[in-house]
Amino acid sequence: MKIKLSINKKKQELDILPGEKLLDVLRSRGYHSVKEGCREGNCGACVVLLDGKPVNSCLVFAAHCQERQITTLEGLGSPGSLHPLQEAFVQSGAIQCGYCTPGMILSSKALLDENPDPSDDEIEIALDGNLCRCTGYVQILEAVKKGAKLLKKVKKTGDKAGGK
Amino acid sequence: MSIDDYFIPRNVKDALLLLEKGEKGYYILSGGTSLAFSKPKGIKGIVDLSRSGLDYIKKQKDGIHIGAATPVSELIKNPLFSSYFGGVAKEAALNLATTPLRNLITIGGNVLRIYLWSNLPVLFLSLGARFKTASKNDDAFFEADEFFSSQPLPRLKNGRILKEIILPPDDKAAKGAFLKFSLTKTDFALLNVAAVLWIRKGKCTKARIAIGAASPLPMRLIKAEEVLTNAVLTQEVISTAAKVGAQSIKPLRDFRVSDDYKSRIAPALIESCLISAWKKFHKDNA
Ligand SMILES: Cc1cc2nc3c(=O)[nH]c(=O)nc-3n(C[C@H](O)[C@H](O)[C@H](O)COP(=O)(O)OP(=O)(O)OC[C@H]3O[C@@H](n4cnc5c(N)ncnc54)[C@H](O)[C@@H]3O)c2cc1C
Ligand code: FES
Ligand code: FES
Repeated sequence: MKIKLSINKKKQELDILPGEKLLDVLRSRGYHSVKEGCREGNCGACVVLLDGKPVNSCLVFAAHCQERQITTLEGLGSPGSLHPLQEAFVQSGAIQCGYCTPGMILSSKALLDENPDPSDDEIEIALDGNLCRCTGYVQILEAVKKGAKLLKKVKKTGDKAGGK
Repeated sequence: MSIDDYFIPRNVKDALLLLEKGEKGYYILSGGTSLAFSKPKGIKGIVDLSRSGLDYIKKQKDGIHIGAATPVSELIKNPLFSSYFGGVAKEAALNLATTPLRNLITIGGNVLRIYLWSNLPVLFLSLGARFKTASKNDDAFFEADEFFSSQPLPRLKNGRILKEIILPPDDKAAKGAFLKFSLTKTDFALLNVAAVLWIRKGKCTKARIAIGAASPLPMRLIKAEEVLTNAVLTQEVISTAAKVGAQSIKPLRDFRVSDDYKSRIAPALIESCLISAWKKFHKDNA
């Protein structure tokens, strides 16, 4: 079947099977930032934004995304021009193996889009679906707070980086 | 069996027609989290309710009407629930899975297929919710006690859809609390409890307590409710009610925890939940 949707603000028409999961459809189309972990909704490695909200793409049928907007990490920054949250994760040492990072950054982005000044509790709740086996979470929490500050700065100065 | 068809009907009427057309091979998808996780035997097609007009929360005279395809995250975000019965619905939702899952899991999907760990059936049993279902020919209403007396889903199999959950109007004389006991905050419940207390002129005039993960279906703790009803609440009365309540359950063993362990934590969890609801009255008077 054919579905129309937007991926990273680009309108697309995809030929999919009715039972295919969004995770598999995205990865097979080259969106490799979307990681496969448990396939059961437990780890958050596959998190993408569906109409701006984080969801586990391993539990979403691709057909469900007809006429909707998907954001993957590829839609945030690029190697030459990192999104403020990517910058903050690098600066805070919040990345070791990096497997959880795309999901972590997307969950953080969804939080900061709604709530630019979150408390520690609010950050913990927003990231409660993203597991990290390496960092121990302290640096990740720091990175989200730093990302919030960088984003505010970018907004103030009108800097283009991360404006996507 | 593979999924050959996927439909996104724009209203409930079309969804019901599709269910009829697909005979028993078409399944409703609401949040899709249980359907995507374990494909039912014989599934041929999916009827996706996400755009059929069942995603809403409306305050009306007779209570709060929630469309069956409303995501659980709305119980946290919608300001209607921040103080509703002392915030009990928000507490139940915050203890349900994780942020990305709560954006998918729907309130209807959560109550229809009851798992040992399900949160919302316990919440709705304690609140005395009503459930509105629709078939091609009629609407039918169920009270919570009847709705949860067996797995709700098989009763809907013959071309019926859950349309709405109707919660009672907020009552400032009542406060509730929800408590989950689990290994980590986001893990499945080993036990969960919801309690609503009505206190008028210093006396508890009514109590509704429900427990989940003890037996395959959530259950009311009627004997504990009786201890509380017409009593002036004290720590002692609450402890007695919790003990009486725990005695009326025969916990099931599940692979993570023994039945004996569940029996031992049940009185403590019920007591903590009752105290949490009771304390909310004191906060209001402070
Ligand atoms: C990792 C993980 C952890 C979880 N933790 C918890 C937890 O701690 N507490 C908790 O309560 N839940 C938890 N859940 C959710 C729970 O296990 C189910 O996945 C969820 O409740 C299903 O809801 P849904 O909206 O996704 O339903 P769906 O998968 O869409 O539907 C469930 C069933 O109901 C039918 N159906 C759905 N809507 C209707 C309707 N309106 N009319 C008729 N039939 C319908 C479907 O055909 C299907 O058979 C967790 C899930 C996962 C994956
Ligand atoms: S792969 Fe989706 S949550 Fe783990
Ligand atoms: S950095 Fe390795 S899992 Fe998080």
